Amino acid sequence: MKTNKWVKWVAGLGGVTLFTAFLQLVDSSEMDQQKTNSSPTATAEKNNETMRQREQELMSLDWNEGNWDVQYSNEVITLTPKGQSSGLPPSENRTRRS
Amino acid sequence: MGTKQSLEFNGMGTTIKVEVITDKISIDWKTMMRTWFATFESICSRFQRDSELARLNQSPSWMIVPIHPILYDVLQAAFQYAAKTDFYFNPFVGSILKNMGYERPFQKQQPLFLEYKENKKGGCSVPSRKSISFFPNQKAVMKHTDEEIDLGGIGKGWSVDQAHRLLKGIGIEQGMIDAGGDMVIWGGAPRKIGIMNPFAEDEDIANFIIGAGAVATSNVLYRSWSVRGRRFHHIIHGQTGKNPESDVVQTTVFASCASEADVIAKILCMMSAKEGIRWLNRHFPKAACIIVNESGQLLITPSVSRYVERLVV
Repeated sequence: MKTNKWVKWVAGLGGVTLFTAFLQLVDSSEMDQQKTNSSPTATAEKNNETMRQREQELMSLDWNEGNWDVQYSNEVITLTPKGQSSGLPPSENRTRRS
Repeated sequence: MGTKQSLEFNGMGTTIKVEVITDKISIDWKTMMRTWFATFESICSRFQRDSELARLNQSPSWMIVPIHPILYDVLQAAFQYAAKTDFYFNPFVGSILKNMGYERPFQKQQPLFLEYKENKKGGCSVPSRKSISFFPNQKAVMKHTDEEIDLGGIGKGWSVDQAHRLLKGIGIEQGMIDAGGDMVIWGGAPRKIGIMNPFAEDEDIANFIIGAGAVATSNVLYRSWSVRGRRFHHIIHGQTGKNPESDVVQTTVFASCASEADVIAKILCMMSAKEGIRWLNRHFPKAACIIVNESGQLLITPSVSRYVERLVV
């Protein structure tokens, strides 16, 4: 009888331990899944951040567009002369063909 | 706050302008600058027959040749950029330029003396990629080809970078060096710089305010010439050995040093403006450019704002 009682205790405790371990396993795999799911969101946020930085870069540039049509894209700002372009007077310091 | 001092002199086939702000009147920085640029030219010019570079070009291949440490350093920098740019920039284009008639400084050329010499294969040769070995301990090199070296695509920029180092080394914390449009500006004080209009050289096509950084401009119109109805210019595509065909007329590049700006400015003249922007973003994402194409459009990378406080067009 005594042996049976101990066997019941051991089986009971073992069951509880196994169940807890099982729950932990499920929980951690869910967390992994969440992490995986959150990766695209993180990438999208990073892209948005890059876009914001780009916009800030553009805004921070104190433009004077004059007689140009301006097209903005992520990679490049394209300025097309509206008509006969009126050049600027030469500056004291100039970068030129070398 | 120091006082502004300036110096202007001719060197390397162009006008060299140096402006510094310093209170150290005792420092003879002007002599230092004159000496530096004269020394650099005497060592690295392809046009001076007694220069170290001319001597190296004349020396036989497959032989270890000790060279001046300045030539060694600039050659090493040139080959690092060649590797970094997939040999779009290639210093082994000296023979090709000679064959196209570019044998003397451009200002001294008389169109009548220019002669295009076809090479034995009946066209332009392709410069070799594996054409030199470096021996750092001896400051020596070994050429693996008889093609000549031309430092035109990097020399000015590199010499400006070294001049900048020399001035900073003697404690000059603010200034500008301009060697024919290859510039370094340092110290943070805002300066207005104009970009020459390639279609009307007495005008600027844009100007900008900059406090620190390096700028270089390259243009396919100025150093160009016709031989028997064929049009040539000084920019050689390092992979093909030919004058590139492109809609780009002029490029102005902003980078952390003048050598880099100089090299990139040449490369952006080798491809279409749009390809050039993509190439720049891939290879030198921290650099920026303003390209003028043959339609007179300006293509500007947003990264220009890293260098420029204000841009007027």
